[in-house]
Amino acid sequence: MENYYDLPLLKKPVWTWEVPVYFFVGGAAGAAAMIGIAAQLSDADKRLVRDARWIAAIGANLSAPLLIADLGRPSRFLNMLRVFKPQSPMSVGAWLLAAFGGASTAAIILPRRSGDTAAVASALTGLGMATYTGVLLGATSIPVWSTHVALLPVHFAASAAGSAVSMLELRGHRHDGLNAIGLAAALFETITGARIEMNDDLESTPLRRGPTGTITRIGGVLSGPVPFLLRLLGARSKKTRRLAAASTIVGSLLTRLAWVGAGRASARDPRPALGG
Amino acid sequence: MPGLGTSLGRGGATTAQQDLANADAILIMGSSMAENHPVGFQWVIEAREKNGAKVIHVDPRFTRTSAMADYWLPLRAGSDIVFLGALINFTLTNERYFRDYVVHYTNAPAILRSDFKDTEDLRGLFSGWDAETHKYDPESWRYEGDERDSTMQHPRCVFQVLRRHFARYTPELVERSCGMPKERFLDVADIFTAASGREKTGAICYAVGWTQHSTGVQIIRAASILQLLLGNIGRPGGGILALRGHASIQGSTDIPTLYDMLPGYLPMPSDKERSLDDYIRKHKSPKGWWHNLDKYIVSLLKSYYGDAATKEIGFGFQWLPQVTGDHSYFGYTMEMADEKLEGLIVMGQNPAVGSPNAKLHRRAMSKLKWLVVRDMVEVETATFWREFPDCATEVFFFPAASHAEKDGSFTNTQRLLQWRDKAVDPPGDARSELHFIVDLGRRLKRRATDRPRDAGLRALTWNYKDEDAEEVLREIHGDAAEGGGAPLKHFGDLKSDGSTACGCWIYSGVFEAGENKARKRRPEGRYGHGWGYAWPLDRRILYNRASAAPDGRPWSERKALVWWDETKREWVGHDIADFTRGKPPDFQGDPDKGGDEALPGDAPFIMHQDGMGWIWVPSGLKDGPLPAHYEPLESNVTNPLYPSQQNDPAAMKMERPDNRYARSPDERFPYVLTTYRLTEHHTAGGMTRTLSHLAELQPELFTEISPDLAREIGVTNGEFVEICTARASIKARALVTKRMPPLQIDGRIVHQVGLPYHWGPNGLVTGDVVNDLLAISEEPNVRIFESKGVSCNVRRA
Amino acid sequence: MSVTGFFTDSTLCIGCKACEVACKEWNDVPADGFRFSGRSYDNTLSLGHSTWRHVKFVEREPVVGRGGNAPELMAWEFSSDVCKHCENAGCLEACPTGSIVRTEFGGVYVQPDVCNGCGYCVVSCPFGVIDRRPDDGRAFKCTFCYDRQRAGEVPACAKACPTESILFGNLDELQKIADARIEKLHAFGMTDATIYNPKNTSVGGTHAFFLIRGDARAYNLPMSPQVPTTLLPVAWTSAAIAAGVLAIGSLLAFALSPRERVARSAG
Repeated sequence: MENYYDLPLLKKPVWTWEVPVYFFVGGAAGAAAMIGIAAQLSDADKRLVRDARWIAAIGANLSAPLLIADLGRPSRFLNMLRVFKPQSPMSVGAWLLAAFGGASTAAIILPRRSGDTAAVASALTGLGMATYTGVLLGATSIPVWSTHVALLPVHFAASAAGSAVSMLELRGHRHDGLNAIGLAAALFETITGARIEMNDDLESTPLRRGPTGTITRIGGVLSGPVPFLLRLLGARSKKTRRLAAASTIVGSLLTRLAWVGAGRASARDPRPALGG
Repeated sequence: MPGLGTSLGRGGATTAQQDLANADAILIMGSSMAENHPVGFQWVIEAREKNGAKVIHVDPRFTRTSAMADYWLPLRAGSDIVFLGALINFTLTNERYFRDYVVHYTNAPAILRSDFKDTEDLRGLFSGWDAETHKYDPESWRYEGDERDSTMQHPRCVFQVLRRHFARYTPELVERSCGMPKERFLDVADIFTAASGREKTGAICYAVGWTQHSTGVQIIRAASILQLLLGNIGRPGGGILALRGHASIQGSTDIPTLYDMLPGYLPMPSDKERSLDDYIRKHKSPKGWWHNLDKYIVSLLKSYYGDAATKEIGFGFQWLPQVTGDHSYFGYTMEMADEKLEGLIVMGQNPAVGSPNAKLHRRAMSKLKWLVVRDMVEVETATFWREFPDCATEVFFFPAASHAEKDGSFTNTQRLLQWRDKAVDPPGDARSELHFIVDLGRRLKRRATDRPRDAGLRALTWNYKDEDAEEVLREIHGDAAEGGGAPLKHFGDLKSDGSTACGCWIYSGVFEAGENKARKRRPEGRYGHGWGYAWPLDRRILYNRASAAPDGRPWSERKALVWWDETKREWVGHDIADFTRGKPPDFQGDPDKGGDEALPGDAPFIMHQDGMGWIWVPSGLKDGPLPAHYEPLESNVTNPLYPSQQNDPAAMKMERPDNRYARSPDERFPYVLTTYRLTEHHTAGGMTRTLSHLAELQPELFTEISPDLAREIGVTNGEFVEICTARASIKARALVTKRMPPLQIDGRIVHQVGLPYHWGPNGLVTGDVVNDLLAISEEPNVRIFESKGVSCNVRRA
Repeated sequence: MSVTGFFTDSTLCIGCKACEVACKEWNDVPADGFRFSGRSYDNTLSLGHSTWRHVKFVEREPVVGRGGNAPELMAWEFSSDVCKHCENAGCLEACPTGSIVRTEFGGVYVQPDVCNGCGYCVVSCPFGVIDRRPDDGRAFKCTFCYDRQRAGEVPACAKACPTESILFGNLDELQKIADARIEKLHAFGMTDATIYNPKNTSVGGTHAFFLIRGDARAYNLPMSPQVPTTLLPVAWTSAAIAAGVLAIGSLLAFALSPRERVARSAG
């Protein structure tokens, strides 16, 4: 196929490790906020609700520094809130993070009633946090991302939900609801992993080949089949669930690293971007 | 510039770059014009786009110029005369020449002496060769008399001699020797020679790809012959455009930095010319423009020595330096290497990188007591001593102002003087050349003693302000000598009685009526009159009288340039006539009056004694009246035309242990090396390797080789290779490209190797010095070295 | 204010790179590295944060007897690339700070005093033009010489081009010139000459467009560039479904599950 000396057409994403880590942390925090509300409404253990709110708040407050650290001009982070552009997922995300950060922090520091209101706000914005990063990657020119634009928000949401329940489980919570969510997330991730494996389009090559392919595969196995089987077979075993939780968290983090890495690899290959 | 000078009268491009837009065909050879003259190349593109002109590029490499051409023919470096000779032969045998033009405006009808013998008769030598002195005696090359045979049938007329001389330069020989298929040659020959006659014209552009050969002048001669045959000189869209190597190279031949020339192409006296009278007797010609030589030399002497230049002492002629031997650049370099020179001042040059056999130059400089280098940046010539641990040369480095930091003029490739005003002050201690020279002159004059040898120095007028370039231009333009008289209009007013002074007669007119015409910036008309000032007298196309038929009417409406206006009784048109303005076409020359008045009204080449374009050069060349093909000084090909005369007999190899040559043939050096320049860099790189915006565009020395050669020596694109010649060995990256095709020469494959030469050890981007590979050799007429067609070897580094 | 554009005609380009140098000179763009690429005469290789004009050298096999202007074949094609200044510009849409704006001349301009270097424009450009300069942190690309245009001047690259390969002017008029040029080249026999201006994709046409010969991909130009905002409906729908499933799923998971079986263990 014709191209220009095999040189890349596109520019590779400039994001360093902070961004995929933020995807993981922010996603898990967002999902945790939602789980906290679900737990609260089902009248679950107060400590579960409180831990979920704490995970959301800590995640939210880690997210902002991670994002700012990745900016080329960190001192200008406030420019993110200079305008609101619905057509820019980055703008939407910045406002979402600002709202989520405020709400999730308020949910742990405000007294009862106001705290609960804040928690609801935190959960609503948290749903955005768990999903918008999929939009952020999907709606770009990077072939490996844009070709999976429909998958990415769901994929990241499932990964976030799995991570959130896993974090709570590692805090010692054993609510069956957590396992159910974890099981569903792991099932979805298993299916997603299988679909990526079976896919043979040019755009998805970085998800199957090279270092990013390897990380995608490991991340997929650790967040998909491994926790799925563990949760299915060993739901009653505290050890097995902790193992499933740890596997999910590592797998989920690797998955985000893999996607961003795959974006870099994808930008290097001129063929899918040139089309034809 | 004897190639153009002897053929046409003046050593300058006959045309202007803008005029290329009027051509019907353009042959670019010995130049990558798009690469090295990108701004001027716009008019080639304009001709291509607006007239449908065919652009032909003949070059060993497929370059940026080939990429813009309609036809590209590769040739073996050094086979240029075979190609051009075959074009001449094609023109003659296919009756493509412009008969009316040839009969009336060239010396083709002139009859030659019976004792002349051609290379075809003497196996590669013309008559007059003295094997002992290695020199020609040109006596037998002269015309038999003033007789001309307008039928051009006389067996000894130039036309018939030319026909016989080039009869063996056939398309088959082109295929064998140049390495291009003869069918492709014939295509191009057909197209270029069709740009001839009343309705059509074609132009030829060349650059150092022709001059840097041991036969350089004769290559340009061949082009002149072709253009004269096709009737393409002095006509719009015709001509020969000598593309200069860089800014003001034309200026530095007009007001020369040469040892054997005075300003305005006046010869430098030799020790054989004892007096001004001797000098004038030898160089003043009875007919044609050089009849005025006495006016020009006397005015120059008045300009140099002012009141001290009295008639009684020959206007100070004896104070001029005299040529006593080979004081050429290479001549004194060899003397420097042999410790016969004490000191050297280098300005605007970087011989440590830019000169052939640069290694020899660097070593020669290490033998000096002192060296002064003036430059904008610390060029390698100022740091050469780092290579020689024991070097005792004391080096003085003077920072120089750049072109934007000083006033002055450039004389460009088409003889156009363009003034430039200083934009900013130079940084720090940097000063202009003018400032330096004025100050140096003052200091030297202060030290002048009463000894006779200092008399000239004492007499020299040196009342310059510190830095007033216009004052200098005014002196070049000239004036009534001190003591009064009317202001000088132009060189037509110069006198030989000492009443006028003029620094360079050809430029005289540039400051008419106190106006610096070089500064003019309002172009008008087809040739942009009003923008700058072209010597002589703002004539943009030289010999443009030839654009009209002998009767004074244009050859055709389409190709009208200047014509005789019967009502005004003068020459009018798009350009200023390069002809005496009021001399009518039917004017009969009066030999008794001498000079221009001796020439008739239909003799366009006014500098020549006979007013004709010289297809045949009866005098003025050291290696023959006609071009003949000789192989480069190093070649693995035997001269196919004159097997017993491999090289130009008059060329000098200056062979010595530090300037060795490969044998011909030499299996150690199987490939043909050719060096060249890139758009991105400037000559030896001092001005570009130091600027990031330019340096990053071509950051490393590379060599262009064909995929076949790469395979043969086992390298891939981007790897390092070693290139060696009999002189040196350097390293470069391989740029493997199909643009550098191997050629079929005499049934075998010949690989050519291309090397741009811009790098050296200093600057942002560095590399080996390519010019270390070349030999110092001297073309017989202008003493230029050979950088094209050198034998080399290439191997994996 | 008239909408301006660049029309870059590769068949007139002589590959002198004066546009690259003039651009860097005028805009004070730093050096981009001193690396030999081995890819023809192109050591710049691509547009980027510190290269806003870039001349490409498309090298094909030369044939003896035919120069590059022969209708049948191009042997060495030069083409000066630049930011396309898209009608629907991915970078502009993506910019969260409002740093990237459309000027009164129709160009796409990064305001250097606003950009915070988030890098989202970098992945939103379908032509790989804009990039973040590592030592500066902000994103840079061709400014369309906004400062010069404001002063009534032609952009530096067009001004420096010796062969009028780069034409600058009113966009509609340039389009007419381009159409006439194509017609002329086709009549000459260069039937592979085409205008590259992706009007039929979501990019909606570009303010810098090109005349090239043959396959656009040989010039590193995408066949069908898309502005990423076209993906937003699918992306946000997917996000909404995912959020919904996550919300409802969480609620159901807890509503349907019994209370925690075992008390939280210590630690």
